[in-house]
Amino acid sequence: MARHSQCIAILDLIARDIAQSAEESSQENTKKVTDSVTLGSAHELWLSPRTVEKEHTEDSLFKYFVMKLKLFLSHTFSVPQTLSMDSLMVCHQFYLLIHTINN
Amino acid sequence: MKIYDSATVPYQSLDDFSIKYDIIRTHEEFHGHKCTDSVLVQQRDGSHNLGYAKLLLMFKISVSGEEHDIVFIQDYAVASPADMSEDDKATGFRKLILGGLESTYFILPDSIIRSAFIVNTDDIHENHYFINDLVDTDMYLCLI
Repeated sequence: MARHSQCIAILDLIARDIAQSAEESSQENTKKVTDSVTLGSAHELWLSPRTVEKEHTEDSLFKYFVMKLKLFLSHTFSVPQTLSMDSLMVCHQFYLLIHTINN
Repeated sequence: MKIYDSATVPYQSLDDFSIKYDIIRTHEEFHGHKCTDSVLVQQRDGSHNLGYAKLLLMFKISVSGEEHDIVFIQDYAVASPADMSEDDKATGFRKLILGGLESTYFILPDSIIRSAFIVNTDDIHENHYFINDLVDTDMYLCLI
């Protein structure tokens, strides 16, 4: 089993290298690298972040994670915790994601 | 909330001290497959030990007119010797166990050190992983 896992690990690494090389070569001309971590600095690809629907905002798990996000914002950036869900504009993908982790 | 599928992480290599770059991704359709990268992160308690995490979401959120870059992660815990079989030990890789909902956190992108190559150990334990320290010299030196 361990040897099997090692083989998978190596194959996975090769596949990842090929995928990364392909992407890098296709974006070679437009690649812009910064010396600080900036999300989306070089290879940003936008999704369609639909704002959550009303019934999602009543979901207790979702509420818990939005509260967690508010706490993080409050501790890190001194953002007031009284922010409403609307002002955070938390998206549908985030809602789906936390339910995926839960299952 | 604006979501990003990928980001570039610069880091100083422990091998030759040059600046290198990793591209990290959380992509639903990366070359036709879901791609969820893992990363080495600084511990939130400020200790010098490394943390291991799976990237769940990279996003920018606008609050009170200011935009903030935030990363949503799920932590891996280092497996205890009791959680390791003889086969696990034979690989020589460090074993990690992916936590559940309670192991999810929001962090700043600055906390990310570099990408990590972390793969499932087998088909039986879905949350058991190995971290590969032989990807490159820097990773080997990071994990000594």
